Amino acid sequence: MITLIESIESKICTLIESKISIVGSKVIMALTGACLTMFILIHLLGNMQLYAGRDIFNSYPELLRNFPISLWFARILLIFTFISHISMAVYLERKNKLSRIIQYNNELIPIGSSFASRTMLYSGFVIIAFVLFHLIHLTWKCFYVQNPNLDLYSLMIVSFRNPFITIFYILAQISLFLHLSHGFSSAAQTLSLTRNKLAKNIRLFGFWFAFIVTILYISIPVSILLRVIHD
Amino acid sequence: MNLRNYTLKIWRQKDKFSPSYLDTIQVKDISPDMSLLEMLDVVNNHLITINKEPIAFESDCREGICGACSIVINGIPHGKERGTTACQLHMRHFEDGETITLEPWRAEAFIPIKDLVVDRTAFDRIQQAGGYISVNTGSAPDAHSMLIHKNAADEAFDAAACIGCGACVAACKNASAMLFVGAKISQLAHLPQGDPERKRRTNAMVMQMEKEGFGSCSNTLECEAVCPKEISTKVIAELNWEFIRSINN
Ligand code: HEM
Ligand code: FES
Repeated sequence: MITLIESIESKICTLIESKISIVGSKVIMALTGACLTMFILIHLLGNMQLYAGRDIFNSYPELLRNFPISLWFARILLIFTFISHISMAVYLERKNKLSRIIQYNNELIPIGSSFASRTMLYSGFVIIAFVLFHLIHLTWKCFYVQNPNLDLYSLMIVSFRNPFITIFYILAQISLFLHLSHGFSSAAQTLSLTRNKLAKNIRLFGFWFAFIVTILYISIPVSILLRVIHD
Repeated sequence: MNLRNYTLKIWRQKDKFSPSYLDTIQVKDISPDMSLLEMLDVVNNHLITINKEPIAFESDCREGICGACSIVINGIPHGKERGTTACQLHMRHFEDGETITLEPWRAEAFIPIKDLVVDRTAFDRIQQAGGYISVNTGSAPDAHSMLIHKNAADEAFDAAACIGCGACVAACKNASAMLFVGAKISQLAHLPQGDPERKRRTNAMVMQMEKEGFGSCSNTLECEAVCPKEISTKVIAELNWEFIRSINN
């Protein structure tokens, strides 16, 4: 069984090596990363409706459920891009580790790279952990099986009055910030949109884009915890 | 003149099969006007007089144009001065009494030869895979027979400033050669002479780069910060573009 998996794995790796190479693999990361970023934006727009009150917020999931086919299409696309992104991340990371097995005695001193750019894999792993927790928490509502009649709005209020959940959400959003603040300009570079003088501006834009998205996401649990949004 | 003393910690390795270790050497009476390599010459003279193995390091032009000198100095390839090679780094940039760590480029594609010298022929093989243009032999063409826009010439020239030292690989957390390969592809991609073979060239060079065991680009921009010729990571964007264009080849 294990040898079968290994042989399939090595076949896939050879295929990637001969057809798309490390440059093409990075292009896949950039394209899937861009799709995930689009999702992050759309999801944020949905969440922002919390500020419009209970009725509007509660009607949003119903609105989505009125279009079951597009909803499932979007879900499958999302799962597919997420898995491709992660597989490519792990694939490249493994190759990159092999390209310098014997390390320097003194660690290299970074003079041009950002912290975010050096920790993409780790911020990515925090995002996976968060996504799983988020699904368990608000999609499958596993912590709230005792009261199944809770509407989504009340569920949000009950959850984020809990400081532990709020803190975990904030930490996860900070790693999303790290990931996006580098990811945005990195994807632009990989998709070669930075061949002109705009490179510096794209980097700056990516940083502020990530910053604003993160602040807006964080604002939700914080507003609930601080009772700005209430029952 | 104020002569200075230093403690050197140097990566020593007899050959590629031997284990490496950090050798600590005290050096005295070094002029701040010496370059780092001249300081190593002085150290080597001394090591020879006391019957010890001199430190192997590479150099040729000693004026920053050949790319032979390749030393990671205190954790930064070519040292912390921007836009200079190790041979252009003068001892006045180090405090009196400072400990200076010298290490070779580290990457699986750069095989250790001895001490600070590594085998960089992986770069040559990438060039041989496609980093050239095919022209008919015969007498040289007229100088202005092919008009080239000033901007294109400038961009090609900026990329052609690469001296192939490998500092980009040494500095990259992935030991990626994308800045080098990007420069070599970009210098031809801007010119009409490079056009006919562009797709084949990009494919061949990228495949060879991967075969040599260099890592992928994470766009951390560490390479452009250490590059002694300050080649911009724009050439990596250009490499990506040439690669995307060559896919339907
Ligand atoms: C909502 C989730 C995510 C978004 C929006 C996202 C977005 C992005 C973007 C835009 C990039 C830049 C692509 C490029 O450099 O060309 C990127 C890179 C990267 N992502 Fe994600 N990502 C997400 C989740 C993840 C996850 C779960 C992982 C898992 C480990 C991950 C690992 C990485 C790594 C390692 C890179 C850098 C690749 C490299 O440096 O070579 N990402 N991401
Ligand atoms: S010896 Fe030629 S660049 Fe340093």
